[in-house]
Amino acid sequence: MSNVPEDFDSLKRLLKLKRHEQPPPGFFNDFSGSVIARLEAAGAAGFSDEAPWLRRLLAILDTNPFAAAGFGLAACGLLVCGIVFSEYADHGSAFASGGSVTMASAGNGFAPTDFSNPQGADSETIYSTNGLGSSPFDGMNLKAQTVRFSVSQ
Amino acid sequence: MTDPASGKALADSREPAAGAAVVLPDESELVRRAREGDLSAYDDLMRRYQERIYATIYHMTSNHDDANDLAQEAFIKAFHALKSFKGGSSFYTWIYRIAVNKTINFLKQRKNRTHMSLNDLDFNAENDPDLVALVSDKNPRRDAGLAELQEKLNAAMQKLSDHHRLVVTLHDVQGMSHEEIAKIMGCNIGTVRSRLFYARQQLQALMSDYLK
Repeated sequence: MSNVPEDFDSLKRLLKLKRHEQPPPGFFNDFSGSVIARLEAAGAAGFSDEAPWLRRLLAILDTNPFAAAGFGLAACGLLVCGIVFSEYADHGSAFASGGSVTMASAGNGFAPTDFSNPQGADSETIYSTNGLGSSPFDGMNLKAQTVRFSVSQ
Repeated sequence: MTDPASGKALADSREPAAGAAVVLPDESELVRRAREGDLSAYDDLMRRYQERIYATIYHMTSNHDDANDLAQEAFIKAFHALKSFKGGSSFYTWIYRIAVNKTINFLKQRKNRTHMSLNDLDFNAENDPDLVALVSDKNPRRDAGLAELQEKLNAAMQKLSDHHRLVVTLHDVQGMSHEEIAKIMGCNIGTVRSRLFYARQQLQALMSDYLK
């Protein structure tokens, strides 16, 4: 690697120039004071009291690249799972309802109703009730009615 | 006082009275107090490292205002992150890592917007024998003054990749060991050495007109 370190002697001497680059006089006298003032202002704004867990999480992500990578992977994994699950759920409901969306709420006395679209008219969604279990509305003897929502194009 | 650019010596910018023995508080004690929210303890910690942190960021950005902002933000971030500091490394290495990560992220965003705002050279530069030799060489192509040399050197530094510039800054300008740099950059010593060699080669080629 550095087999011939003397090759860089001139360069090293030149780089010493960088050590002489100085900020304006007195710069460091005020530096830490400015930081403390900003910290106090942030504390007065209540950030530190309101979300200590968030602050801790951000601090860990800032200082630990492995934690940041893990967090990113977990977030991506959750996103992918969400997409896959929503696709699966869509397919599942489509199979169950044969193309229509069904909502169940009513009670014992009502038979499941077929709400497929007999006329094949405009796109529509039919909400229905069927007897999947008891509900607080059972005693009110409510009857299910078909409601059609049409969207004309 | 210390040399702020090189940060060679331990830096406490408050000058002690002549002849007075200065007992600096133990760093771990200061960290413990700062972690409990004691801002005066954190102020002490900052004063120890502010010059070195500032100098590193300044040499990376070649811009005084950016260095000032980034150094402040690094210290603020470190204060908020103190609870996650377990003491596995020294506070010095830890704060350096925060500052370096922040600077590299900043440079990635800045990418095509390099604007140099260089600090003035101190008066010692004119008396530095190495630098005097560099500018007083008879070669007409090397008749540049120190200010011009400074600008050329910074322009050449800016042409290096961020990681190569960081290694040169920490080693050749600030005098850190390969081991310290490896800890700060989170890589192994071999990587530090190879980056340093490559960075020097590039700088040498870029500055060939000004070198013997």
